[in-house]
Amino acid sequence: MKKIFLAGNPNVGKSVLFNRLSGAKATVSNYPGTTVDFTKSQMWIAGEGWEIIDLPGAFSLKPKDKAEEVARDMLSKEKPDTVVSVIDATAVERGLYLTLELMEKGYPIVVALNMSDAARDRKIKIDVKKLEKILGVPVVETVATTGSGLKELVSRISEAKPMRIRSIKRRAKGKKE
Amino acid sequence: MKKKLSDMRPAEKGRIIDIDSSIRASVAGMGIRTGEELKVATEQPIRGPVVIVVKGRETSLGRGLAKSILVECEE
Repeated sequence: MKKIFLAGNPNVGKSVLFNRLSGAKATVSNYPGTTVDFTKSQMWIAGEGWEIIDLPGAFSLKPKDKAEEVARDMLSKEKPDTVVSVIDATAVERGLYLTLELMEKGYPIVVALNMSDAARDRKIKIDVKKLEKILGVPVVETVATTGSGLKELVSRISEAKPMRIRSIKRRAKGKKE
Repeated sequence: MKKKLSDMRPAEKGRIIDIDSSIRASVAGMGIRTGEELKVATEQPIRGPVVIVVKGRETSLGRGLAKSILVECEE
């Protein structure tokens, strides 16, 4: 069975997204570090069964606590087919650090800009098209708590692909491929 | 004045000027990088973690990590 991982900083809504996608009941709370171990479930994408794994929150793949260690080990052991990098849309810069680390490791990525409603409330404007162009992978705005954007997220999982950091750098500087 | 982050007082502000190379990569993902401005939010008693605000986001750091971060503090 193909595997999809949810990765991201602590308290960005990975477990809410996980529950929405899989119909499971992972414990959700409004403080960081609720998931210190991983949770597994299954979901259907275009008629195909996938295993979906909710990783504990991590800021980096260079672990400094148990939760980050679990996240790193799961990624290297289980070899995901796709990683959904969940970013808090109100703290994009911070979330991109882990996203780029995941890309550096060669995982096929889809980015979920979660809590995009909170970002809008704070008048944070994100140029999703441009971010998608620079990263070269799908970037989808989501609100996991309401389910907004999840259909698009799932439909674009097949577009996930590995991306070289060098080509991202080039695009970030505005140079053509 | 230069200070270790672990020696800063609540509400004190400053700019990060050096991070020990052994922890640099592991805190970078939290937005803690050389040149960033920070403010100490609270200090937990009994040698608990230091809570700081970087770019409007609160982050807590263990004392071991906080000791390895050097900050140029505002007077």
